[in-house]
Amino acid sequence: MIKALNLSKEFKVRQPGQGVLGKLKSLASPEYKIIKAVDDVSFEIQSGEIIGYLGPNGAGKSTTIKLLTGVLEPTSGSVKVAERIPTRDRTRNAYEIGVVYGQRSQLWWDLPLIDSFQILSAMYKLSELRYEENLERLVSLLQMEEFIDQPVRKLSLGQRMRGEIAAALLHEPPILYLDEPTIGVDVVSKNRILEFIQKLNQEKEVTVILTTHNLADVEKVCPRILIIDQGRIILDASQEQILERFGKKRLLEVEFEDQPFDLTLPVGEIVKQEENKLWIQFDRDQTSAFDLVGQFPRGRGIRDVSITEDNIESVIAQIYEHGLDG
Amino acid sequence: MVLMARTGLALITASLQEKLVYRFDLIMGLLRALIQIFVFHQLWAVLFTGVDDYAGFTLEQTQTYVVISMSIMPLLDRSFLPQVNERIRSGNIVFDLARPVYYGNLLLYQGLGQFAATLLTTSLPLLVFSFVFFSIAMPDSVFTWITFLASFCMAYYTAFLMDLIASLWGFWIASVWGLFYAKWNLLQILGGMYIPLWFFPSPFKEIVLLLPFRGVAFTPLSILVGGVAPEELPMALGLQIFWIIMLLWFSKFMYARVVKKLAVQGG
Repeated sequence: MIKALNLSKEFKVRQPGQGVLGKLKSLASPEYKIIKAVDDVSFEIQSGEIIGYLGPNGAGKSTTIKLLTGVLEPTSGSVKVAERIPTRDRTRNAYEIGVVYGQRSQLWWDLPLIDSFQILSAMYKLSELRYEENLERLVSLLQMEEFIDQPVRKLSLGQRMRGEIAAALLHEPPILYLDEPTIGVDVVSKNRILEFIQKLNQEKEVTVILTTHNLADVEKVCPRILIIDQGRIILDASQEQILERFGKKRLLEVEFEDQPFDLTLPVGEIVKQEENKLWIQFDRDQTSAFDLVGQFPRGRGIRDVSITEDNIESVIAQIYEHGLDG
Repeated sequence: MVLMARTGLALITASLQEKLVYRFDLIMGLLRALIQIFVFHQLWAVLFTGVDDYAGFTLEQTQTYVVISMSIMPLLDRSFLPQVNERIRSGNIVFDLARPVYYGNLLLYQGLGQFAATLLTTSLPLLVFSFVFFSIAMPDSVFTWITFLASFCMAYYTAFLMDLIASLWGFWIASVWGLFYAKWNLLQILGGMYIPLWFFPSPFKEIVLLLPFRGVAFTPLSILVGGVAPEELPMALGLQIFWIIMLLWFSKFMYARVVKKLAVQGG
């Protein structure tokens, strides 16, 4: 469905110069700096997948989305979306894709929400029947009944974002790009949006690419994850593979009946000790919580035990911070 | 074609409605134009004191020219430059470039909606006002009216294309206000919006008459007040058509360059 091959995008950024003299100098002979926003990126996305496209700020996520939507022309490499080159076939490509940017709006600000849908319906040349059907379905799934007649500028962020998603899907595109769609949205609206994305994917087999900083969202809906850092894809794997590879650390929390004691363990590491509690970090390949507890001297009463496991959120936070080897 | 018209109509209506939301804006525009009409009407009366005609044109012809010019100017001198530039700066241009409609046409539909709004709320009231309070000489010939309307439609399209080119040029510039005022002033002076071009001194006049700006106001207005002899008509209209073709080609050329070079950063 979507193919990127050795995709790169460079931006030439003019350096404004420092101070008055520097700015005057740059007025006469501007200096440019080349920034590689996307650097030799390749991936392939099958029809019906939901991809979590992750990376810290400025990693190149949004630039990739703009390359995929055909707004930006690649500096080198190629993109194919539904067998088409998006920049060469902008108008045809537009029918294949729906785009939502969490920090932007494609709705007509001063008009009631419903007007935006009507305009888009005309723009995408939907028949009256298809428009009615799609609108009805989207309104009920995204629960937009109460605010569809309100001017867009009066909507809350959560309401507006549901409107944005409906606007992107009105023409039933097989591909949906979501660029931080839940940013700033409250928990209820957010869950509604995430459930909707899953439903859409299951029922209509829409291919979804979701970029977000909210790793819990990704954990919930994206089976496959791509991580980009400094313009390069550093990881492309399924959630299971990622957990398998990076999520090996577990944390055992033990609460004893009385004060703890000196303890040496053959495997695992005591990371914290507090009153009568002990935290032991261990690698699940090397030992198990059961074995660890078995190593405690007998006669020491244990009041409580709990285990925390790495999840996608903590693993990806580690990758952001320490890279793949951390 | 029918579907195309539907797309256009929906976008035009949307833009019309958006425009009508801002009542204060409309009232201020109306007020400003009224003052201008009054001032220029008086100015020409003073300039014509003691003379019957300048360059073969009477006071009444000239007054008719400027009063109509001031009334329809709000239809012709609108600019998308600040709006387009704002969309580039905010990055919202990413939506416009991923639509199944050519960006130039999106702007044209929006422009036509604004045209309808301005016509209803500003130009028509101004024309009515002028007819009631000033002596205005209107042509009797149906043929003159038809040629005027044809020329006026081309005038609108010429103005639109010039503005589109300026707006596309704005893709490369961080602050567009310099370009905005330059375009506006060129249009008003070289287009003959304030002063009919026949009063311009030679050889300046001959040069200006070859430029595309005259097609925005001077050509239809001079047809209306009888400043174009029948044998000059083909040349006047032909020049409008010629410049529309050139501007259309150039705007497409610029658009192709713009989308290639476009850099939308952040968010």
